[in-house]
Amino acid sequence: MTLVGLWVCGLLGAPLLAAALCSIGLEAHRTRAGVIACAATACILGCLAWTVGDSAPLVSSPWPNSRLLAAPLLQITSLSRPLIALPAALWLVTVAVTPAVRLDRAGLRRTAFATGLGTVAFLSPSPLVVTLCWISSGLLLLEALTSEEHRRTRRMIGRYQLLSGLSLVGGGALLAWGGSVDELGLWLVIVAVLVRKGIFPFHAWIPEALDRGRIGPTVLFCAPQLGTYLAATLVVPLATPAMLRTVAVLSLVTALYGAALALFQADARRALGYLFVSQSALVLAGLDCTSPDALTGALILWLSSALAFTGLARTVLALEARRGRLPLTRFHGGFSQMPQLATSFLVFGLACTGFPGTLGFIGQELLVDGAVRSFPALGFLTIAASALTGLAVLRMYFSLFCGRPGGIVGLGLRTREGLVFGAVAVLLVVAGVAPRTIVASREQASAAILGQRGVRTGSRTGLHPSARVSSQRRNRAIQSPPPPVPKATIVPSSSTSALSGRRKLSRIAQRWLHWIAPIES
Amino acid sequence: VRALVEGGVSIACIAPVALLFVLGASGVAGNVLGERGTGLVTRAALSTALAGIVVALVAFVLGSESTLVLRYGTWFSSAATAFSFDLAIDWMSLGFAALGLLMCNVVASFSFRYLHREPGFHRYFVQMAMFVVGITLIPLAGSIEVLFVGWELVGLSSALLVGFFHERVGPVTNALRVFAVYRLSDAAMLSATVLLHHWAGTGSLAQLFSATPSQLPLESGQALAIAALLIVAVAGKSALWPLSGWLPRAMEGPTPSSAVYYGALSIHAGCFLLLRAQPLIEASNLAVVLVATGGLATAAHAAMTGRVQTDVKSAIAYATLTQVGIITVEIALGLRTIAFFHIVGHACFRLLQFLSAPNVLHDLHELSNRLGGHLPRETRAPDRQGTRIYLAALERGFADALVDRLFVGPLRTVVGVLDRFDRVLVGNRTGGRR
Repeated sequence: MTLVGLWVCGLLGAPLLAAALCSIGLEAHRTRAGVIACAATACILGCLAWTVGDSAPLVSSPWPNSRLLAAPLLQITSLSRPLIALPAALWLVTVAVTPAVRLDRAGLRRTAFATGLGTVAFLSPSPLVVTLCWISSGLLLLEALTSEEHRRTRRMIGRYQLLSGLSLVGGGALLAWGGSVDELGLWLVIVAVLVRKGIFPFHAWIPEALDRGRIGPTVLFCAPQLGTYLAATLVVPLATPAMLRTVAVLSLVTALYGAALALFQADARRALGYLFVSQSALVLAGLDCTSPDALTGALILWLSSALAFTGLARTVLALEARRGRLPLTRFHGGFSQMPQLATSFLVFGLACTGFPGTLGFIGQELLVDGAVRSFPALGFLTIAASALTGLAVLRMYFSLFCGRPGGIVGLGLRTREGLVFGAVAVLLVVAGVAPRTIVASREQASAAILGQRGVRTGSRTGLHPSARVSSQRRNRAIQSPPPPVPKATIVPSSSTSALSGRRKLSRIAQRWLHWIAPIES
Repeated sequence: VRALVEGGVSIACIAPVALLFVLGASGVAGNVLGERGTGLVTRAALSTALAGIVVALVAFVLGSESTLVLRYGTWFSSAATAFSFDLAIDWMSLGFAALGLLMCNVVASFSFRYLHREPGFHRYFVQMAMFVVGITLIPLAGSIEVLFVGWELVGLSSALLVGFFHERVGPVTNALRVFAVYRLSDAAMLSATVLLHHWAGTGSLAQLFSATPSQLPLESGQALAIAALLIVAVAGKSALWPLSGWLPRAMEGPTPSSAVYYGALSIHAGCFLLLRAQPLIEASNLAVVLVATGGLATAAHAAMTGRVQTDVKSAIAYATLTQVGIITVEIALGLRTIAFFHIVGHACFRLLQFLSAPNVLHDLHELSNRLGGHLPRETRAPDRQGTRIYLAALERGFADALVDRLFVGPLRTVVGVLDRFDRVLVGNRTGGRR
């Protein structure tokens, strides 16, 4: 077995070992310590992926001639390299910070499985593996909500996950079938992504799940943004410009929508939910702009928002553990009782906002620049969303930590909480101050995605691969505005008189979209 | 000369950043430095920065170069965009930076005594350090990204210092209001940044702000759009009418921070940006008219409102705003040198006025105590027309009420409807806590 193979075994073995530890009946504190050790190991092994170049397939596909399933089952790519450590990092934060009473053995086991599924998904360029992880992680979330108290929430989330899973499976099947149903298949995959990422009109389940469900499992389910991964590996390379434009417009609108609703929420959990919706939408908007800058920015924002949102959610949970439910209609006070928690909350919130000195700033700067290039009018929604997000974060901060103190009892962070929050905050700040390595890595990944897009859309239009320019030049060519709506790739070549009603409708929709988002990608 | 300037400017930029990191780390570790250590570190960093900028200023004045661009390399870059860390040095930028660092030194010295044994002593100096970084970057910025970083740092530190006495609801509520206006200002600045990249293909301020209007790589309409966004950004930061409603609210912060922000530096930072961006503004007559009108309206509004203020800090703040309006008009008229020295003189005067205000009040109370009653003062009942003006002035020109009615109220209503819609979508009919 090669060194990389050993490394992958270690990476995937850590969650399995943790799950086994939870099942053998050790004392609770020993189990927890073991799981934390496994999470730390997985995190360190995940970070080692930076030292590994794009690898040969670790596990090849058993269907090498299939149109959709030919991709290797496991492979380290430029896109997945920093993402591999992400589920493990979120796992470590979760198990180290969550109070013992809120995370029993079953809960610890679920976190291990969720991490394993996330890691496998990010290690795999194969849509089949991602689909399996997609469905399994949905089931895992539902399994965390079995109590009577969460019955309604479970049913609601179940409906959304069913829609997402069915769309993905159906879309995948149609894509594998090929031919004339390709476009329908891709639309179904897009619906699955929109549901999973909480993009309008499928956004409402996320604030509700955080509000009435359980924050911990919901954050582990949402924060890694598996939907973004599917969008980057399947949707962006295959989608037609009209599809990307539709998704980008929906995402931009959702980013503003989420930020505006977060600003006026009366409850910290719901506000958190809408903040996530806004961040998640910004990432997808960047992906679908397909300009190299926006794509790089989106990939950076993906990492930043996952860490910052998890940190933010965990600080809210830590605060709830001390205070109970947190309405935002009054000032709770207590800054002097827990200054470190307040500072951590502010740093995570500012990273979500894209404040200078945090990684979020780098992502948002690139994303905004690229989005405005692609959508001169709608691109400015990202700026409005960012402004409202900042205001929402500061409102939450003032409400949760300012005001008359509730008492003089110290409610400060425990050592483990302090270390974890401090480490995440330092990571966000250091990466924001010295971002070159991460920007270079994400730029490479964005070039690879756009390269795939060039190859696949090129083959659709009948271009020979050898006739294509290099990846960098191609990216620029994609970015520069060509004549609007390349009809040959979107509308099948048939005379106008022969267009069916559905195609006429499609053409009207495309014209409308072209009017509000005029630059072709 | 260039080496001296570069070294001095580098020290002036690095020392406040180091101060911010040291104080921030100390705060996270549970304020290990204590009052004494915080004071020592702050004094050392700020005096080093001041020494650096003074050396740079003297060397620059003795040298013969008109403008220097110091390139510290690319911060980060992507396919089509590079974000460079450049500083543009001329006598004006060095002058404003030196003024800023001098005032920060004065205010820091004052604050050590003023906030002695205050529970938020350390927090105050962390936020102050953030401000010093921002206010040093704003005048020296050679690229619009650097300017934006400084702009944001000043905005956040300002809002946090307004809410410094966070155990009272008033300061916190007002801090949020101040931050809302600052976010509008930041959004306008970011939009201008993006449009500059998009249209001019550069974010270099040295290239844009030292050119004549005819040399700008922008068409007239584009220049107008960017200038308009810059005017909105400046209006937010310098409290130009109609965005001046936050100024009296900002007086909730500690007096030294009010002095350095709203008497001396932050409120003039917008004017300084207008001064630097004059070629861009002069490229469009409409932009010039906008600046002049904004300045005149601000001066008139502040002169009227300042006369009816009942607390000394708000009265001084509106007096400051009157002068800021006049400075804006001077900039619109193209009187650059006069405007610059007006900024310097006015900032010094207001800083002194703010810092001495608590002593004056103390003396006044002492005098009243000894006299056994209030000092006699002349009062005059206003006539019918005067009553209307008086009421309008008391309500600060109804600007806040207008913003609430036109923007905040409708937005709140729309968001409420959307929130209910979302709850209905997921079958939550018992929600709607609003």
